[in-house]
Amino acid sequence: MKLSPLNQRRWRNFKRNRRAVWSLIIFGILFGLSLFAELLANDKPILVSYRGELRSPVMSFYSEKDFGGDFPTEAGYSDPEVQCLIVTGGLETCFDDPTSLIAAVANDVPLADEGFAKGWMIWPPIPYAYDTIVDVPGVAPAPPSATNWLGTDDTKRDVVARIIYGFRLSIVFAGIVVAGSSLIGIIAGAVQGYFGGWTDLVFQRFIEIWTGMPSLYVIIIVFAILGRSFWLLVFLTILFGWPSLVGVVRAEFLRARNLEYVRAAKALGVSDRVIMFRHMLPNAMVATVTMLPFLITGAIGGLASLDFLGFGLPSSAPSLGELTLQAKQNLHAPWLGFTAFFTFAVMLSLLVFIFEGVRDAFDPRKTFS
Amino acid sequence: MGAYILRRLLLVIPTLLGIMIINFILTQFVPGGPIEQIIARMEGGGDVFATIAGGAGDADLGSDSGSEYAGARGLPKEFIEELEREFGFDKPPLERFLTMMWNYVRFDFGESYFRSISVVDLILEKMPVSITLGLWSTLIAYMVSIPLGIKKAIRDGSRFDTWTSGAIIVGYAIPGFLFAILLIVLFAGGSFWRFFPLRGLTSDNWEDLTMLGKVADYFWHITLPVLASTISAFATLTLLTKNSFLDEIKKQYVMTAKAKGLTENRVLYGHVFRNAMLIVISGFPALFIGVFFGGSLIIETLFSLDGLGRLGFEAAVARDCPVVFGTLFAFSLMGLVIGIITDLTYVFIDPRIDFEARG
Repeated sequence: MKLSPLNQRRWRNFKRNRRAVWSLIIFGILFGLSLFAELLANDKPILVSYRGELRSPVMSFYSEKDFGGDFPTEAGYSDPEVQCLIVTGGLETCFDDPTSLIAAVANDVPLADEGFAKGWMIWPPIPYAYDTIVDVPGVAPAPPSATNWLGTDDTKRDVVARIIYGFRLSIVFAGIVVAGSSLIGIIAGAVQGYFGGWTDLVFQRFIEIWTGMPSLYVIIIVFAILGRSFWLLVFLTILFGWPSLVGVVRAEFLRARNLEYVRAAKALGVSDRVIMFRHMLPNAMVATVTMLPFLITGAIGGLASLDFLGFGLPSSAPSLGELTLQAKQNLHAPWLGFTAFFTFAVMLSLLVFIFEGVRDAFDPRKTFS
Repeated sequence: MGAYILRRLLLVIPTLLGIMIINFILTQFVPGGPIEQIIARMEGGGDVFATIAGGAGDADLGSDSGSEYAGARGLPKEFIEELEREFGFDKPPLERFLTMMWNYVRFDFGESYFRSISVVDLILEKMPVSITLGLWSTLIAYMVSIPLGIKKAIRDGSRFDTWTSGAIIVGYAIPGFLFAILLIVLFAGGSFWRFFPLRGLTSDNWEDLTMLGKVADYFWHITLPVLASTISAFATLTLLTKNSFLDEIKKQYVMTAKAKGLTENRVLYGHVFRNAMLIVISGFPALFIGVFFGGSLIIETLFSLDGLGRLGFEAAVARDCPVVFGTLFAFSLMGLVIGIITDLTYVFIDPRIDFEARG
């Protein structure tokens, strides 16, 4: 794909902003890693060799029976019994003394038992998923240690694992919400500004009514009726988020509708839709791009506050807002508060710096300087 | 001008009516109204909202709609009818809505369902917290942002400019309650330092303190919440000041003033300042309302302050309709009127702006 000369110039301008470029690189790495969260932090091994057969528990389901155990339920890979079954190829004696058998296999002691087949497991660097209850003795929010790098929260779940999943969830949520609400906001603003007059007046009143609705109240009510889910929250956030872009786009269109090029296009008989979205929209994009960083950080912050209040994602979800709430409830566990703050600080700063660069690259005064 | 103002004022009516109608309809369809709340309380079954607010979001309240009221089985029917009469729920919704609106138009906001206190008194009761947070954080924001904005405008494009921009934008992007958590953990949590109290606006022994002690106690309590709610306020104001100064500095009269040999400071503060500050001043009406009636639910929750943010939230959760609709009506009306006043200040400050010519 070849960029147009204008976009090439924008890209060059973006690259000139060192802070934005570095932010983009760091953010890209972090987000890229978090996309593979299942391989980074999981309570199942990535790869298992059982009796010479390669299996990937991360990808598919294996019951304990599949490893020579008794239960048809999913194998608990962190149990010593199951681990022993895997490394020994399903020896019955595993149920008596798993730990010494594992140790024996690890030290390459030849086992005389019938049916022995050496196996191995590759674990993710963090052997906990976001909802794994960490099986370590001690009080509930456990301080950082070698096994739990940032400690555990008050239900004994590993904080690092929750952050990796929570980071991805926040970004994906913000991405969908911003894409959705910008799409609606731009179309609404364009229609309003382009047609003006009564359309504008009625639409403005409608937006005033819409923004006057107490959104938290509505969210509480809707959740009470329909139950909580990720997509319902996305839908509700878009529902209340789109008016934030309307003002800017509308102003741009109101200004541009009387300019020469629009009149010329009209005189040539170009349809309204083509004028709006092909000719006028690119000019309104700069204003839109300026708003983007605040929309994105706003969406992430909004999700965090809803989770904090207990009206966000279902309580099982790996949410950073819930971590913040736990930090507040467990003041004797400062690592929770620090982790929550710095995760948000890093994530939001990177995003803001990237979009600052994007905005400057799109700014016509700076593009041609 | 008069026609413009009149038109804008008339447009307030349909808007306000729209807001009220939508929210009223919404409340009608929702299970767990105030009557169910009371029934649940009387039967000792706790709170109907335990299921909603308590995190067990999967509880399907809608499925109970077969019976008249979900929790009604245990209480005598006559009692429930009496309750309904007392709250006015025996009347059709339209009649209730019209009565409510008629009362609101006369600024009669009624009483809370759950506490025998009028809605107006309830709001007044919560005002000290809102004024405290609003007033101090606004003052700090203005005292920092305006000089900073001017400085950034003068040194536009310098290292100082880029880095302060970065810092304030990051401060704006990170939600205030995260700063609040950090401050609490650091300065009030007990793990590190214990400089500041965790909760409330004043200490328990407030009555016994001397005048000076009271002042000290008050500031001691509000330091952290004010700090947390100020950090995000710098960005908009600083950038507004900066941009408005930049626009002014490029103008001819500044050149003239410089040419006639005025000192840098005299040019900036004697000539530019007045013109550049107009745009900041036009934000004052909105600011004023924000100071008095602003509420931040999360900051208030974090520091156990009892302010307007909490009031609205608790009323919404408990379905305290008079409080929900009363505050909704009052604050929407205020917001709409302030919007008009703000537009008029623009015209007043800069006569070149003319809203009438538009459209």
